Amino acid sequence: MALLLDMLVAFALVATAWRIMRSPGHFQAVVLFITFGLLLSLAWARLHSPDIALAEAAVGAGLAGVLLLDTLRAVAPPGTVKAGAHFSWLLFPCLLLAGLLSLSIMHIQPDIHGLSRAVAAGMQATSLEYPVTAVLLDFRGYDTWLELGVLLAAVLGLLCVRRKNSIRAPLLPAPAEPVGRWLISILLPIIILVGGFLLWLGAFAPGGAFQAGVVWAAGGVLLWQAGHPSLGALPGSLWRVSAVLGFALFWVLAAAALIRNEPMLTHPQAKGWILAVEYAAALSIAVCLTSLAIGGQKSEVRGQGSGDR
Amino acid sequence: MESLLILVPLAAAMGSFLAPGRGIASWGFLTSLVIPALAAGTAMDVYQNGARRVSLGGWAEPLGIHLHMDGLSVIFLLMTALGGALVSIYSAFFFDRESARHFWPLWLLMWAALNSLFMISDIFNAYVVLELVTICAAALAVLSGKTESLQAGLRYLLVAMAGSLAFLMGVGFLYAETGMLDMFMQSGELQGGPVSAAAFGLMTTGLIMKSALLPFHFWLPPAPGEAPAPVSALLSALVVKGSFFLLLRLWVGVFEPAGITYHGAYFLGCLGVLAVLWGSYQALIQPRLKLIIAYSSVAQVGYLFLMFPLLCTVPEAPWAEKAWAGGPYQAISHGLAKAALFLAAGNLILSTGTDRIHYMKNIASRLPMTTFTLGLAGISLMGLPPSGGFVAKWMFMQAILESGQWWWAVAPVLGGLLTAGYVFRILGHAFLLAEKEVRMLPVPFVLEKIPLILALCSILIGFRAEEVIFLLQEHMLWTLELEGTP
Repeated sequence: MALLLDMLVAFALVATAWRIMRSPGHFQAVVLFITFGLLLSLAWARLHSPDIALAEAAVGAGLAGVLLLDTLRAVAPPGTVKAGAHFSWLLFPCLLLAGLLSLSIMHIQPDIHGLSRAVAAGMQATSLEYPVTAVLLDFRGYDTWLELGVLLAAVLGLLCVRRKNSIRAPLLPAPAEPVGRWLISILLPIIILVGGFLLWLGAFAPGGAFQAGVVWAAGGVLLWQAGHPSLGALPGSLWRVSAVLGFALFWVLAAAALIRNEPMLTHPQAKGWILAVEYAAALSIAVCLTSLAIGGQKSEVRGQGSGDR
Repeated sequence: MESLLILVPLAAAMGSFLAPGRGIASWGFLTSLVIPALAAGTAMDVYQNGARRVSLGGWAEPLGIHLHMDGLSVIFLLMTALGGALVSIYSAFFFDRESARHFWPLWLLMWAALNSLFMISDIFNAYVVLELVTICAAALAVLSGKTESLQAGLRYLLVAMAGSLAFLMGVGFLYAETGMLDMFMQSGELQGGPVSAAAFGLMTTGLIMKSALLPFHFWLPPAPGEAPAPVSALLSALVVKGSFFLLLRLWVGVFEPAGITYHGAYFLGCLGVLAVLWGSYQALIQPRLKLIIAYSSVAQVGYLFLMFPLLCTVPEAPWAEKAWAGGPYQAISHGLAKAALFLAAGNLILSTGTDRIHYMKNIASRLPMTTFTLGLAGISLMGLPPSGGFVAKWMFMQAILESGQWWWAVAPVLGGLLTAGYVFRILGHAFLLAEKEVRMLPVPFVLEKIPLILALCSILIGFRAEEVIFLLQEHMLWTLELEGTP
């Protein structure tokens, strides 16, 4: 039964990917891509990786979908048909590559432990209880820190492309129908609660800063789509501080170790330290992701050409 | 010391993001004063005491991430510090306020990432760092806001992302085979079977896409060609070297001991020779100065890949030492000379408003300093003595002749001639007298001197070959022994 389910998921993934490439319209392709993300998160769940499944569903299907749909609205008016791009000549090389890679995967020793023993040994020395969170925030905190930097760089890049100084986006008209407004006023508190719960959960179970940040970001985007300025309501300096906060706290953690004459990023094994960094990271992730979604909008045309120097 | 190489630019990046006011350039200015001192300190330490590792967060191998400093890292760190600092000072005087707000946070983030990349030890960490470099570089490439630069930047982003994904998949295979992520511990663990081969192929492909080796060179000319001068200098001189550095580390440290590099090395060597010839030829026929310089990067990157057939085909080859010293030398001297050329081109554009070489007449008498800079940097690119480029090509030639793989000599010989061709083409136009007087704006003092200093450095490093070779041969650390069983 489990095998049947796995086969079904695997088949659906490949079929959806194929449909994405063959779909005639951009819109259809984007919707299929969101479906693909959901199927993929199902596959991760089947592989006993609930953390990745959560992240994939939230980022891959949710936020990436919003970004793609927004882009689509900006570059292609609805109803346009994709220009005839034919990838059929790529079929054979792709199949060959996929075959070779599958062959290599067959040769992977099934009994590898990887670093799980090292992690198990390290768990005694760290103050965190959940191994995945311990890996992300403690053992490999440097990676997580730089990932926050990547997110920050993406926001900076967006501002650079749009030549804006802060994240103000044009307001969407508020939805006129009562259902939409009602839905948002119900959903927003739930989103805040769910995000906070995921964040709190991360200390001892699947969850954590990335998942929480993405859920909150979804709230921010939703708020904007309901005609509220969302992040744009923040003063510029406050927006900057909250976007950089998680990254900055990691920096403090790293630099404080140098003052104590220890290697960078070493910190006293107190849960409070790590959780403070994690909560700040969740906030910054939410702010950065929301900024990516709503900051990409063209700002209103102002008197003196805002697009040129 | 080495941690500060990462912490200082990151602090400055945050500072320039949080306080984007009038004094934003001072963040970069201060960083460019501190980083060379820190890099020199790290280099001295390695020179005197040998290779060193730092565990981040205090977690020992194989659990934690480490910073790894040996001769190779130190040389690339010094190049980044010198090139980065001089380009930063140039940028402090170059950008208007609006562009400066976008430039400084991105460049300072990228600087920290590059420093981290040159001290890399963990292959997943390498992926994260490469990602940071790529995103910052792509954003910097579109800084001018012109449509052409947006196209070029997007093209770079797509190629580099594809490269990242291939690299990441390779990381997965390597982890599956060795059960570890630290590249210095993986070297003895590879079995050389299909899993190793998949990791090898994927990582190599990903990294040569990012290094702009021949079939993937198509993003390199337009991206720096359309960007503002300091950004072009950073992209061509430093960003491309980052992924090359990682490739070198992985090949010599991880894949070569597993004995799977033989055919790949010849293949990369062939691509390198083709890149030298094709890039130089394209540089000869370009109408714009910046495109000439950018295509010359395609060629100069090609030279670097001659290292692989000389290093990774015959184990313990007697000529390996020379090839091993030649590559990093080529990387540094090209980095400095290329930065000098792009900044000098930036000055020409400031002064005349165009970089079409047909309009570049009579600049020798109007902008003698800039012309001199172009000439000096050209000497290093051509590989005339006593420049750094000469040392690199000389070592390559010696290694090639000793190895008996004489066919690689095509690249230094023909490539050198073609390089002379396009350098003299630039200079020839500079000395022509214009029929009618072209209006030229004066170039600020600092903007003229910085490229000159860079060009001088690329010549002068030719005199310090002994120390560099000592660092590269005596102070390398390739494998780690793990206490107890993994």
